[in-house]
Parts: sequence; structure tokens; C-alpha cells
Amino acid sequence: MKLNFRAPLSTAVAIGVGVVVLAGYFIPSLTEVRFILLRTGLVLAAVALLVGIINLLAVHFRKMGTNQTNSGYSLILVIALIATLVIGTVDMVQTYLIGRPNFQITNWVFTHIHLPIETSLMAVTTVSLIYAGAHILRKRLSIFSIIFFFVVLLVLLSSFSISTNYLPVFQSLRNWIIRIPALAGARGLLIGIALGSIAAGLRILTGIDRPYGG
Amino acid sequence: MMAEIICQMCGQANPEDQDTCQNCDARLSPLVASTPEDQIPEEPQDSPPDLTPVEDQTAAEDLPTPDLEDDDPSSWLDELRDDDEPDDDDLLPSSFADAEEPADADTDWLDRIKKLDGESADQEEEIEKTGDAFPSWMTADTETQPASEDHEPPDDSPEELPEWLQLETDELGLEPEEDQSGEEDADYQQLRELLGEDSEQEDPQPESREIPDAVQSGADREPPREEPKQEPDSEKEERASIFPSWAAEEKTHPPDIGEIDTEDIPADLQFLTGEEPAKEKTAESVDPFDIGGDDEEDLFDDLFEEDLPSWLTSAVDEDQDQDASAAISPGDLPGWVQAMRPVVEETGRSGLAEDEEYIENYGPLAGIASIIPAEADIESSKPGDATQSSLTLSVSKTQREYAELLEKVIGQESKSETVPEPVSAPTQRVLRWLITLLLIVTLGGAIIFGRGIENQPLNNSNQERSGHVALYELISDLEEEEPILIAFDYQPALLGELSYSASSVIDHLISQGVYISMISTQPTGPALAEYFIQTTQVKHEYAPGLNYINLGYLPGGAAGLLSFTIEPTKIIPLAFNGSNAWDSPPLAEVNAINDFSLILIITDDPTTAKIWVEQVQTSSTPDMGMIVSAQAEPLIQAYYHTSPRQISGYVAGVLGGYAYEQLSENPNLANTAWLPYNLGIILAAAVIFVGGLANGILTLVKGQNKGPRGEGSS
Amino acid sequence: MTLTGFSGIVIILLFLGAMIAFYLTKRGSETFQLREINSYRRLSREIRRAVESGTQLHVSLGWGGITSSESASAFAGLSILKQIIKESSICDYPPVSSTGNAVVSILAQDTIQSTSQAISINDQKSYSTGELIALTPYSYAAGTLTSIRNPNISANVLSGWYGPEVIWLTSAAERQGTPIIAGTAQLPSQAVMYASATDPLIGEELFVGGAYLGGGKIHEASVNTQDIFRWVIIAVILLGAVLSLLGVAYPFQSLLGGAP
Repeated sequence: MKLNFRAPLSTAVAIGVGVVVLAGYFIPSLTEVRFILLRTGLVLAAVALLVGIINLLAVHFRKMGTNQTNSGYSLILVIALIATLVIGTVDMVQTYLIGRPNFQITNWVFTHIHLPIETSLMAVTTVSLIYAGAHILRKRLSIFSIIFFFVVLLVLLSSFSISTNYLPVFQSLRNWIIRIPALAGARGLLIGIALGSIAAGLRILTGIDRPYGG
Repeated sequence: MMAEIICQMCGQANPEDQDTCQNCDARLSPLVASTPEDQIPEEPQDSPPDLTPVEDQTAAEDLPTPDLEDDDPSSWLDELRDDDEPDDDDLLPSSFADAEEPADADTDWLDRIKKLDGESADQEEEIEKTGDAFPSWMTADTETQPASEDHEPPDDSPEELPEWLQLETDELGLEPEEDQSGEEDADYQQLRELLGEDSEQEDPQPESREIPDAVQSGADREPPREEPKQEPDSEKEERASIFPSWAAEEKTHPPDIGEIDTEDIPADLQFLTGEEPAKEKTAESVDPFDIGGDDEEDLFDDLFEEDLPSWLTSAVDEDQDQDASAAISPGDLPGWVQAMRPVVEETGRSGLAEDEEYIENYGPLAGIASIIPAEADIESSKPGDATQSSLTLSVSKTQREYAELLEKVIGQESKSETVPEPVSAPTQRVLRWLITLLLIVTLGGAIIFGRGIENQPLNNSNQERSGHVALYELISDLEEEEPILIAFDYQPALLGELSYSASSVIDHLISQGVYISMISTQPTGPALAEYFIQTTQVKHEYAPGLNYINLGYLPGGAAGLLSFTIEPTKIIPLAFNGSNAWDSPPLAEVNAINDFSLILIITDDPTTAKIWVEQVQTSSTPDMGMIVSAQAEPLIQAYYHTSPRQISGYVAGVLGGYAYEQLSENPNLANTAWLPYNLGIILAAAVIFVGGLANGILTLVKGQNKGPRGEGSS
Repeated sequence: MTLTGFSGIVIILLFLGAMIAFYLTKRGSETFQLREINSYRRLSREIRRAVESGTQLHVSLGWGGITSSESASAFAGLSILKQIIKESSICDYPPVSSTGNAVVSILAQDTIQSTSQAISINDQKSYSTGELIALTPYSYAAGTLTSIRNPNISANVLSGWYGPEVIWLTSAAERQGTPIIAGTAQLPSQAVMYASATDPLIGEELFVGGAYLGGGKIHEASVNTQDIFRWVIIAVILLGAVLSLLGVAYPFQSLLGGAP
């Protein structure tokens, strides 16, 4: 008879570690144990990043093998990833072993390639957000959408300095919105999210939800 | 006393002159009964009607009862059990079993019925063989039913006909009168069509299955393969020896014909006599008509109150899951055989149930009780009558639940749900491109040509409560070489906003001559920190490792941060450049998180700010300041305005940076961005306002979009 | 143990006890009373449509990890992914899932495999695919666009941790004409989703997916427990406000202020 020890073992480990870390947050005597577990988790998280990168490579290698229309992007991704990895490795050797200034090539890649791309993406996001703001009444015409629409406008208008100088009422209104209704609504949502987080956490701690395959 | 007609459908008495039942509107006389002989007799129910065709009555008069050696009702089962045993069935003459003999035209329908039943049985066997077509709970019954495996579908050859059907056919000469043949043919055709429909469509109405069940039950009785060799002395003797039991029954109560000794009639056919069958059960024998319940009607009511389809009611009880070959013994009937037997024995004084007192009065089925007449079939096709009677087996609770579930699933399948096809939304590409062009032209123009325009100062009327003022005061109180920790926890995409917000604050810090340690919980954070120092604070010539140190990436999110708070030296022993971080001047005096004079978090994410507050801050931790994106300001304010303050001061967005620069009287990046920032906001607000109003009006005029949009919760 | 720590552990134990009590008391009943959430009703319909039309669902788990406050979103997304795999097990094409976090990608793979095995999907080719798209938010958003624009994708589910870049995903789905059911615990992104998604999940609605998608009685019990605690918190806040107005010191003051 074949017994599957993986599921109960992983479940027991997950529940045990979770309970200790949670209890350590409240019980000072468990702080040391919690710290050891947290450090272990830290290393595992870093290793998981490596595993994730390998997974990323595997996924895009597989996509390159197919005749999908987007397989060209996968090729670019794989090339860029390998190139950056090589550059980072060379830089690390130079920095740690030779003693040259830290990560010069990597910083160059980050400054001249990664940063412009990301900021450009943010610019595109800005356009999309403006479009979404203009489109919301087309998408969903309801009282809440109308309130949403006018609050967005009000906060925007009170966010530039000209209006606050010539129309101080805008700044007062903005401050009131941010401090009272927006904050109250946000806190209400956060309380709900916190309760949901507790429920989700407890379900995992008690082994009801087992996303680790148990 | 006025004669009454008993309705065959509901059993209610009706006046003689009524054509239809007063209770259920069923016809009281058959449509095809054109002669008085064919009318249902208005006799007391305990008196069997004289339904024998006129021409046969004489023959029936002289017919001796079949020579049955064994009166045991289950004796016929021995024939079923052993096909090769020629035994004592001298009842059938060889001529009857002659396959070469052409079938009579009027009785050809029986063969067709057999064909249909044979086909359906073949189909059932095929389905059973391909058990994967059904869920396991359904196939389990068929697989564990040995009787079904032994069961062979009847062949089309006449010799395979069951004896009681053969007796009713041409050998007996039960041909209808010529003047009635046309009508009766039509009647037979109608009946055959009904049977054909039942076979093909598996009509779930139990009543419509009544006839094929009866025929099937007879067809299932496998006749002996070796036909009995009986030398006929004469045709009359031959007829007498093979005359069916119903003919014997006719002889028991003929109005003007001599009596027949009913004791000679087999017990299993004595129900036709209207008398109680002789209860001569031996200890081994089982009453073949006992279906397990004390009260048949109650049992049937229980079965039918669930309205199960008849094809499902054929599922056998789980208790019958045993080897039939081992279970069958003389007198010990298996359940499936019991199921095939007519269930009319113990139901009433006439031997028939109250609603089954119709006895066929013509044709080859003449004299057989419990046959639903064709017109009754038509009448009973009303949905309300569908579950009045059927021959079913008991169904366990589990099977019933499965059946209900299956019915539910099938029912849901039949209900088609109209799913709207996704409608490709009009994305207003023109509006997108218009927004893009407006932003590029306006902001580009402002950056290129707006340098000469003087910036407007901010209204400082409410400054004493502002976060940037508190942060300014906090930094101003720092002394030279005090260690501070700065977290660069934002995405590179937000560099444009946060570098403009933070430049004046970091500039203020460096001006104070503090030691700076930088850390990040984002993988790109260390590179961002280096970039920030090297681009915005280049004038201060802060040297890495001497004036500031980059601790690099702290993995693990909140857990990592908590670990760093507990034991910073163990969590990050080395700096970003590989040197020993805690021996460098910026961290020489630091052994714990509380040794920092100030913790400053630069982030675009309110949750990251929350994590720092929750995980790091205790009663003994140093002051905490924040530089956040404008989107995080509403949530950050909560930590600033609470009492006691969880964050000591903050700067939010470009506007906050501009205010800080104005306060510190040290114009920096935010000052250069003043005009493009304000123009961009005005433009964005204008586009949203105009576009929103236009879309709102369009929506009001045209109505809300269909398809995937507009269905969300609001 | 500090007062905050003690109250925290008491609240968690009470929460757990209430969950179990609700589960045990209503275990035999037909179903719990849950308010209608249009987005989950829409999701169920989209699953059925995918089954009928032979299309796929795309489940995006965001880029949040499991070691921070994003973890609840990630786990909620995994729970929804599990239910979707179960519900669409007879689909010609299994759902595809994407994530921007390495740990969550491993968990997603594990969820897919264990769920597929639990419902007896033996053919590994029929497994859902869990892909790590990229490791930063914007690159993840850019990489996920190809999944959303796949013509065989009939609906998208965003359940995880997102920033404002989620507008890309919702806009892409809008262009494709496919519905997008989106929820996150990140408040600024909720505002973006409200403005751009066809079916946004507001607040804690993200965390009740298991209950609404047939995850079982314990999920429904946890929803009921959340409701009970929400009312308790509302009562405490109102009581605190009244006592503060009256100038009366109350025992929860230090707790609410976050002081140890």
C-alpha cells in the first residue's frame, strides 16, 4: 500500500510554524523561536526568488517553442534575462573580489534601461487612468459612480498650487475630504480587509485552506 | 336497478348510457368494440366476463386443461433454469415450435414486438458493456446483477416465443372475424405503434410501459430449446393440450358452457379464474408475486411518489447484488424473476386490483387481465395519470437520491441559459490618443518654455498642522553624525514623483551632516537608492561607506522587516558592496534598530508604510518620518493625526515636496516641476470633466452598455 | 505580554471559536445566508460559459507575496483559483493563472496540481498552467497583457495584490470585450478597479470567494464570523466615540491608540 506522507507532513509543518510565529507575536518568551523561523523564512523567500526566475525562464522557453504570435516577446525576455544575469555576475565578481566600485555596470543597466521603461509605463498608466476617469459614467451610471466622478475632480482641482492660492476653499475642501470621508471610508475598508485577512489566515493555520498542496 | 358501467380508469360506477366516465372522462367503451360481444360486460366483478370470441367458445368448451404435472407455481421456472432439459413440457406440440411455419398476418405484430424488445435488450446490453457511459453508481447495479448477464435477448424466430404468446397466436386460430379485421388491424397497428414508441423512446411514463413490460416479461421467459415431441392424436386433442390457461379460465365461468375444473389450472394462472390461488407454498418456495412488501399498493405509492422515471425504477435493490446462479434453486425465486411476474395475485377478491379489472376481450390477448386498452392508453397519456401504475422494483434511498440528482442535472441541462456573447466595448481610441497628445504637448511645452515663469507660493494658512512642517522640525533637530535609516521602498516607475518629493528632505538631512544608512524591501530598491544619491545629492559629495552605506535588499517583506527590527546585524551583515556594514562609520554606533535617531521611509504604497509602522515601531523606537506618493496620503494621515503620533511627520507628493522646499527656503526639484505639474493636473481634470460629462450624457441617451460591462456591483 | 498582544490573541481565538461554532451549528443546514455579490454571480456564470463554449478563464494572482500583508490577497486568490479549477474541471481548456511573485507561483502550481489530482484529472496536459510572468509590478502587468488578449480567454479574474498598473489589465480586457472580475486589498488599486473593471470586488469581498464559489461550509462560517465581528467593531467604535465626547476614559482607548 502506498502512503502519501507529503500532504499530512506539509500540513503539520505549515500549521505548526504558523502557530508559533503568531504566538510569538503576542508571547515574548517565544520571540527567539519566532526569530529562527523568520530567518529561515527569509532565506526561503530569497531562494524562492531564484526558483521563480527559473520558472520564468522555463515558461518562456516553452512559449518560444510554440508557434504563438507572442513567442517573439519570450525570446526577447530570455535574452534580456540571461544578459542581465551575466552582467550582474561579472559585476559581483568585480565588486566583491577585485574591489572595484560597486555594481557599476548593473547600475548603468538599471539607470539607462530599466528606469526609463518603468517611468514610461507610469506615463502610460497616467493616460489610462485619465481615460478611465472620463469613461466611468459610460461604464456604470449610478449614484456612486457620479459621487466618485466628482470627488476625483474636486481632489484634482485642489491638488495644484494655483487653486489653493486663489481659491483657498478648494484646499479646505480637499483637506476635509481626505481627513474625514476618505479616511473614514478607507478605515472601514481596512477593517473589513483585516477581518478577511484574519479569516484567511486562520483557515490556513487550521489547515482548512491548504495552498501548499496538502 | 339501472345497470352501471365501471370505469376502467378510475373504477367509478357510471350510468349505462354514459360514454365517458363522470369522474375522469375516460371512455367507458372501447373505440374499436364494434360488436356487442366486444363490449365490456356489465357483470359483477367477481364474475369473469365472457370475452371469448364466439367462434372459439365452442372449442374452449371442449378443451381439457393442460396436463400439468406439477402444480407448483414455480415449476415453470425449472424450465427457465435448465434450458437443455427436455423435461415434462409436453404441453407444446412440435408444430407450434416449427420455425418454418409462416406466421399469421394478424399475429405478426407479436414478432415485431419481440424484435423491438430484442433490440432494446441488445441496446441495454451494449450500454451495460460500455459502462463508462454512465457514472459508477449506475453501472454498479448492472455489473453486480448476475441475472442480467445471464439474460439473453429473445431471438426473432417464432420458436423463441414464450409459450403463452405462441398459444395465443395462429395455432389457436384466434383470427378475428373478417368484418372486424380491418378495425382490429388498425387497433393492433395502433397498439404496435405505442409499443414501438415505448421501445424506441423509452417513454418514462409508467403506464405506457405497461404493455411492453408485460410482453417483455413473457418474452424473457426462455422457452426450452428442444421443443417437446408430442404426438398429436387429433387436432382437437392437440388444441386441448396446448390451450392456454385463459381459455381454461373461460371454461370456469362460461354462461352456457360446462364447468372446468379449476383445480387443474396452474396456480400461477388461477388469477384468471377470479379465485384466490391455492396457497400451496412449500417451505422452499417463495411466492413469486411477493415483492417484498406487506402492502403492494403502499409500496407502489412509495415508489411513485418520487416520480421517478420508469427506466430508473428498473434499477434493482442493492440487496440483490449476489450471484444469481448460486441463488437460484427450485422454489427459491430470484428477485428479478419476481419482478417479471404479474403483480395481481393478492390484490382483491377477484384476484385483480381495483384499477386492473379490465380484461382483454378480443384478439390474441383476449382473456388476459391487466392489459391497458388502446383507448385507455390514449386517455391515460395525460401527464397527471402518468404515475398511476407501473411495475417497478424497490429502490433504495441512496439510489433514489442518485436518481434525483441525475434528474436534476438532466433537468438543468435541458434548461438553456442565454449567455450574452461578449461585446467588444467601444474603447474610444480617439479619446485615448487625444489625452496622450494633449499631455505630451502641454507638459513638453511647459518644461521647455516655462522656465521663465515665476512659481506661485503655496498658501501656508494651515501650515502648523501640516506633516511637512513636523518633519522639517524633526530633521532640524538632528545633530551631526547621528545615524539615520532611510528605506527606499518604491517602484522605479514612481521615481518621477518621489524623487521630486524627497530631494529637498534628503538634502536637508545631508545638510545636517548625519550618517545615512539605506535599505529596501524591494529588489530594485538598492539601485534606486544609489541612483537617488548620485543624481539628486551629487553636490554634497557624500561617499559610500564613509558618509552613507547601502544595506541592500531585505527579502521577506513584513517578516524580513520584523527580523531586521529584532536583530539587524544578523539579518544584514554585509553591505551592498560586500563590505562589513556594521564596522563602517555610518553604523559604527548602531547595534539595534533603536540606535537610529530617525527612520525615514520613502514609499508609494500605503501598505508598505503601514508595515513599517506596525513591524518596527515600538515604544522605544526612534521617530519615524515618511515621504509618500500622493495616492498614499489619505491613509498616512491616519498615523500622523492619531494620538500619540505613530509617524512624526510626512511629505506627500510633489505638492508636499514643493511646500517643504518653500519652508526650507531651498528650491529643489519640486520647484522646477511646479509649472508642468500644475498644468498637467488642470489638463487631467478638464479631460475627465469633459469626457465624463459627454459619456454620462451618451449613456443617458443610449442607455447603459450591454455585454460584459455595467453589470458589476456598484 | 502587553495589553495589545493579549487583546490580539484573545480576538484571534474568539474569531477561531466563532468560526468553528458557526460551522458546527449550521453544518447540517442547507446553506448559510449570504448576501448577493454580483461579481461572484458573474464569475459563476462565466465559468459555465467557458465550459459550454470551450474557452478558458484567466486567473491573475497579482504580484504580492506571502510574507507581508499582501499574503491575505494572495491566499484569497489561490482559494478562488482552486474553486475555479474545480468548477471548470470539465472544461476543454483548463484555466490559466499568472502571477508576479516567485513564492506565489510555486503555491499556484501546487494548488493546480493538488486540486486537479483531487478531482481526478489524470491527464497532466489538462492541468491549468501557472506562470510566473515577471517580478516587478509593471513588467508583470505588461506581461499579463498577452494572456488577456488571448482570443480563447473568455473572462479574467484578478484576485491578488496590484498597484495602479492594474488599469492596464482592465483596459486590455475592455478592449477584448471580455469581462473582468477584479479585487484587491490595496486601497488605491480598488479605486482604479472600481473605475475600470466590469465587476469590481470591494473591500473584503475578495476574501469570501471560497464561500461564494462553493468552497464549503467552513468558508461560509468564516463569512458569518466576519460579519459578527464587524458589528462588534462598529459597536466599539460608536461606544468609544460617545465616551470620548462625554470625556470618559474607557478601557479600549489605549488599544485603539495602538499603545502597548
